[in-house]
Amino acid sequence: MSKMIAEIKYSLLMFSRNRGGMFWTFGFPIMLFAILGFMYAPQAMPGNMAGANNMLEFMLPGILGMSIMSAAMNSTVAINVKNRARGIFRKLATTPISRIEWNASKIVTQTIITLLSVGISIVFAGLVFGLHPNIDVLAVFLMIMGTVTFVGLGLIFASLLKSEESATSAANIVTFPLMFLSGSFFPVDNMPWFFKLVADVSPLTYLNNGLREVMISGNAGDATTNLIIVALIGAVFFIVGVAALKWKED
Amino acid sequence: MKVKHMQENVIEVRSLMKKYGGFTAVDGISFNVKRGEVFAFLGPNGAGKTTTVEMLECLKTPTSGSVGLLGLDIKKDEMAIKEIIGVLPQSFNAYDFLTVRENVDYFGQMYARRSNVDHLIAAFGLTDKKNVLFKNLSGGLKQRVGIAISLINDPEIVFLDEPTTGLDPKARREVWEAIKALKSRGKTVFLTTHYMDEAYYLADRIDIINRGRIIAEGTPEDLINKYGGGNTLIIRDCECHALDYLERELPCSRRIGSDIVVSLPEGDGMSSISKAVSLINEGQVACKELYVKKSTLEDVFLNLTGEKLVQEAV
Repeated sequence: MSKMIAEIKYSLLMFSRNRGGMFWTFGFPIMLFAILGFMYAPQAMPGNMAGANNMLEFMLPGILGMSIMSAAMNSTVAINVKNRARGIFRKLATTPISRIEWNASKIVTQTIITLLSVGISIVFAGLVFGLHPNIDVLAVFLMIMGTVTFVGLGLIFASLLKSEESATSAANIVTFPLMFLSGSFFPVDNMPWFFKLVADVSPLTYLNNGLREVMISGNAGDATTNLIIVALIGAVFFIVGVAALKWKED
Repeated sequence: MKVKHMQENVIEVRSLMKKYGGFTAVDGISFNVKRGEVFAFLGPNGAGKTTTVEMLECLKTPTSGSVGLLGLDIKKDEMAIKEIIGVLPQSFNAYDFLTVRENVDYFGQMYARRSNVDHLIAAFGLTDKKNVLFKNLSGGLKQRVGIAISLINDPEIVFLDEPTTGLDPKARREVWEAIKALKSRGKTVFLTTHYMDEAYYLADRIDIINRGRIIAEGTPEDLINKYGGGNTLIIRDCECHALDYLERELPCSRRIGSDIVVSLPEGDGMSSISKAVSLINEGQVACKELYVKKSTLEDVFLNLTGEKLVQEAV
């Protein structure tokens, strides 16, 4: 247990010293919400708005989902590719900590960062735009399972990448399209059929839908369905990711 | 109950083999390492040094053969072995955004048994730097931190895989002193290197490895005496007629540029030297200086394999 506590403590310390990571995790979602918020504030969107009264209310859960995804993916890919290149994994493989313990610690770390980031965004949305979304246990579970999902996907990605340089851009190749095609900023229903196909397989779609159900309409039943989908995808991604990202070469 | 005396083997390797498809990286090697000694694996890049050390560290699985570390079997007792070995992996860099002290403590927390972090930092002369971020350290200091980390669980055996590769000469010296300090703490050290001066300076015993096989074993002096081709007498910067005269009169001599080089017979070097001195005196010939050059591990490797140990400039 002390192994995992040390891993979590020092991971948070390293994160706090990484200004770039801090900006993308905490600053970027606020910036995005501010820009989109002032742009779309006067407009009402036609079509299915998931029961939202206006565009801002619709967008807030989507921006939270997107920031959970990009923070978890980017940091997981960057950390894992870097650790492999620097011999840290080779070193850890000679110590008693197991890969499961280490990655589980990373999930805890990333969850703490995620919840902080979400908290900051919600406070900002309340202060600047007067939004007061409904937050309950279901919402928190969705955020945790969303984090597990994208940490897992990050592990799978990192296992496929060879060089340190290509790491972040490769993560962006996935996260960037998913931001737009998973209903973060505009409803999926208004998109052409081929984009809807992407939305159907994107785990971010279910995270966004779940968060929207909880935060806007308070529909616990539909939110739970989405939570179960995200949790299942998360479990599969995490197990495959931990198995794929080996610390030892044969 | 452990019996601690100098002659005890702490590492026992038997017929160790590692194959990658059709390529044999390590070809059935056997050797022992005794308690408290610095044991070096010396060989060129690609000889199988890292593959061997990584099998000993449970990082790679042998194709066949056995490895015992303090009586523990690497195939069955991996968890127990992790607690008693300390490892500096090849080209290891600790976390950039943690300080020296935080890095040492982080790795210490992974073990059930650990040394005092501040004492260890002081022992490696890192107290001044303990609150400096790892990324701001020089190359030599980074390696010293890596070696300090490898000791945090107070291991019985320390593995150092190419600890000075890529360092400048001053930094290499610093790291050498850190490795010497390990020996004075009574640790058994297994070192891999392709620098012959490093093996010569640090090792009690050396195995020379080439193409996956051990081709010679012994103390540095033994290896040099046995395979170094003996010592050579060099008479430097001689005049023209002196060159002819000395080459004619001295047995086993040859001319290289304006120097005379004499291979000294083993055990009878003195008579050749005194003959050279008296020839120079009697013949009234002018030469600048006269000295004896000992052969090195580089000569040992060259004589054993016909190849050079290091191609790159150090």
